Amino acid sequence: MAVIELTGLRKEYQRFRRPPIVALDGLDLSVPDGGVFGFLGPNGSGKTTTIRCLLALARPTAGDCRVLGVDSQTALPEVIGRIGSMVETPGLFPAMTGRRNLALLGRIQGIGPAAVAAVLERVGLAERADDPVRNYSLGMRQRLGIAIALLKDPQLLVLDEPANGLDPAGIKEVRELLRGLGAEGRTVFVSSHLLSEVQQTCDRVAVLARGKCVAAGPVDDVLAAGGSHGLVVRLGDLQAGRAALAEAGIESLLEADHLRVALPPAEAERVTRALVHKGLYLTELRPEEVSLEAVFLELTGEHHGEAQ
Amino acid sequence: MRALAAGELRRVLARRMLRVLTLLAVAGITVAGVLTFLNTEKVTSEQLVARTQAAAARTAACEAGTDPPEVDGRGIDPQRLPPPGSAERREFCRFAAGGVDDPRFKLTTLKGILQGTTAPLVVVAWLIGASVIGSDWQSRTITTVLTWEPRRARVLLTKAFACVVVASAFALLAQAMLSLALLPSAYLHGTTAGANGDWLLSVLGVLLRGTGLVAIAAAVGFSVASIGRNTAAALGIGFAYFLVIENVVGSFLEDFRRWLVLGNAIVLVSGQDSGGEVIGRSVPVAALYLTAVGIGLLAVATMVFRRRDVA
Ligand SMILES: Nc1ncnc2c1ncn2[C@@H]1O[C@H](COP(=O)(O)OP(=O)(O)OP(=O)(O)O)[C@@H](O)[C@H]1O
Ligand SMILES: [Mg+2]
Repeated sequence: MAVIELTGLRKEYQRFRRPPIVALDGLDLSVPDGGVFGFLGPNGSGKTTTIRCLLALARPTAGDCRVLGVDSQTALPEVIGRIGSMVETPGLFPAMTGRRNLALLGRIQGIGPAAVAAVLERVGLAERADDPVRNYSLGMRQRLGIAIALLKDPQLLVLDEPANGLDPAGIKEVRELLRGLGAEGRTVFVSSHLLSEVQQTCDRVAVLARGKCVAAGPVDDVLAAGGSHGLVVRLGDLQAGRAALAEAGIESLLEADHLRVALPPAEAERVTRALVHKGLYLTELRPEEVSLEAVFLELTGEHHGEAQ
Repeated sequence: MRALAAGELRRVLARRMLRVLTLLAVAGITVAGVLTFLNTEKVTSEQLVARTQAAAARTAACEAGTDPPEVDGRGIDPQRLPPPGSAERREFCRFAAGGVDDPRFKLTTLKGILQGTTAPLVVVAWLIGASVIGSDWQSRTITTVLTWEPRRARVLLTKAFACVVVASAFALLAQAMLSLALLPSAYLHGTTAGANGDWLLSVLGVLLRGTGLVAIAAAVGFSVASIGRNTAAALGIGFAYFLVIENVVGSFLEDFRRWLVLGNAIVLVSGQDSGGEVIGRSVPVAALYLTAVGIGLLAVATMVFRRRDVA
């Protein structure tokens, strides 16, 4: 069963005397049960808007939004106890301590102080838990936000750029935390504009551009679908190498210090044979790296991450 | 529901603004108690009789013209006064001779004092209501709470309830403390004459109606700030509405005053039908009218909150 099911989700923000902003333009998305699902998109592509519709914080203009089997606009209270979430920067009560913030929220769902202490420990805030949130750093606030999301021991976690404002160690911790949660059988739905994050953390990914889903599936498949496959060939005399390959019927492209060959890695043998045949020896032969970055730019058709 | 309400109450109580207001109130009440004590003194009944006679003699001398009266320490030419025996002369002498010199604190004045504190307490209540929801919008804690309790009407009304409870408790405590602070003056430097059971009942009535008005003010401030999503907006709108619209309308259209919030509040606090020259408005109707305004605005705020997006 899909944990999150969006069909034709559309969200327009009205503007005064100007056409509305179309933040979501018929978004279809299905998030299966279990594992870490990355929700990738450039700034302004509608990630936060999607999450807000999902949690009934925003009212969709059209379309359907189902979470844990119920319509989130009407029946969210039935399942909210199983959904932990953080939307953008966490909204915290500045006059209260981190522990108090958690305790008062937890009480709404009958969660006691032991669980509060446990999540504080888990996000590395135990030591500063009794300071007022007003005095927290950006990263500490973010950690407290993650703690709030974890406090319900939820089946589904919805996190909007959780690594925001964290230092490298913190980012690594969050990455491990998310992977751990996914491995426990929970579903983690995490938005990000950091491609490397998604690549390292997620099992599946959906790529969002201008309010539409442009690709979705296991991370490897999405990578494979987007990137141009090829081989990088390096040798002393590039011109001679090119001629030798052409003679063997292999197209190649001359780059600054190497040749690019449009062959799948499995056929690398053909390249070696053609070159050796002419007495040319390779200094390097490797598959071209396909980064999510490249896929992303190709899929979203954007070259500076700016929507509209 | 109980957990939600308990949480909201704690959040309101944890606010810095509330602590500042409490400190200010305690300081003000202490100063009022001390100043009242210093400016009053005990007078025996013999002294009082003598002072009453002295005042009567001064007035008589002024009216007869035997004693040239002084006003502000300067003598006045008797020729320029109204003729002796005339009503104007009597009026002037009552003023020029001064009344009985009675520096006692009369406990019965407490009722008026408590009525006078209602206005600042109403402003405080408005401030509490507006700032609680205003800062919830600003810090986006409203979003956080909604991800734990998505039933929006429930969340908003619980918050409003917490503000109303805290503002009312604040007002009651402040007035009780003020009364306590004035008791030493009443017992050591004054008189409790006239402070009988009926009087006590009327004082309780003042407290009750004042607290009711405070509760409504908290609800209205809360509603306006909730719709405007901003504390400053609520304060600005309140200021503009009461000082500009109601004041102008009220001073030009006397008959209309009974339909203004201010007019009804005046009747309610005075406890008298058509009190404060608000013609044709009874106390119960004023109470109903103000309650309707409070509940109506809260209902509008709830409807708006249910429909609109939350950031
Ligand atoms: N409250 C709002 N009012 C008007 N427009 C909005 C509002 N919230 C978002 N938008 C617009 O909707 C579009 C999508 O915004 P959204 O915040 O969902 O993007 P995002 O993918 O989360 O971006 P980021 O990576 O910067 O967080 C943007 O064009 C944004 O300007
Ligand atoms: Mg966002």
